Amino acid sequence: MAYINVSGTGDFATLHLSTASISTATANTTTGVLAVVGMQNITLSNANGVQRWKQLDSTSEYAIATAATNQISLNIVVDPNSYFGATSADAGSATAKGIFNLSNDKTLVYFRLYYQGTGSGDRYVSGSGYLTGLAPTVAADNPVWLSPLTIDVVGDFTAATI
Amino acid sequence: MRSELLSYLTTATSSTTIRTVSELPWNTAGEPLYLKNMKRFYLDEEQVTQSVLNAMLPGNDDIMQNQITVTGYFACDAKNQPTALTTSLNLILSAKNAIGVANFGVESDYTTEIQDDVIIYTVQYRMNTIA
Repeated sequence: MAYINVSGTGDFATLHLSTASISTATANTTTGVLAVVGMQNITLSNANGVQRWKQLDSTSEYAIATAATNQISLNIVVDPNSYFGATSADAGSATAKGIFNLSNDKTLVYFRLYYQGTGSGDRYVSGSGYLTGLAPTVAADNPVWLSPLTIDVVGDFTAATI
Repeated sequence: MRSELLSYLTTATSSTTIRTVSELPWNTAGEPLYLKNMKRFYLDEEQVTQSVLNAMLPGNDDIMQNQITVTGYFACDAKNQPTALTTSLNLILSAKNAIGVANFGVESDYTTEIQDDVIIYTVQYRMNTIA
């Protein structure tokens, strides 16, 4: 039995966002791809719907899977460049827009969630969706801006290997 | 925090009953300086504990906080307490708000202990800062 340990250098869980399809085989080589920094945790949710019914000829219910609700949710520490965008980046790119403008402009984003680093052979799940649930907060006893963030996925996830 | 407290209190208490001095409260002949020189306020070296304020996934550096503690001492006659002692104590306690150190939570308090005819005031300042 093996497990996915993200604590080693080069094995970090990584989330990339882009306003264009990330078509390159390798990670983060496309201009304008935003590598989300300051992640505190991240959860991928593939919640299949289920239709259940009863039949007179059975003592147990039957079920069939229906369309899934796919989401990625995470919490971040607000990094100025990642959140508000970098002025030096290509206009309109995820790097230029930043998380806030991607959410505020309701821009369709393409994402890749790398489970254990971005090296050759590493696995990731990709898809597209909209950033929602942004709610930055700061408090007297924690004077650092923190925010939840959700990617509401359009359609399916796709699992692949770099 | 100690240097800021020392700088502020040295000026603020220059004409009050309890005056602040720059030395650490070291012992001479087995006796702390604050017992040898009564009505003088001695600030000890600051103690710092660094801990995680916001944990991050590996690869994203944790945000750390410093929990800084500074303890100060002075002593005076328990039978005949100095005049305006309350004023001095209030000044000493409120110094934490006047030293201009960026923080997110600062507290101070004092406790007393009587030894023979001397009352010892132990003042503690606690402050949280981003490391």
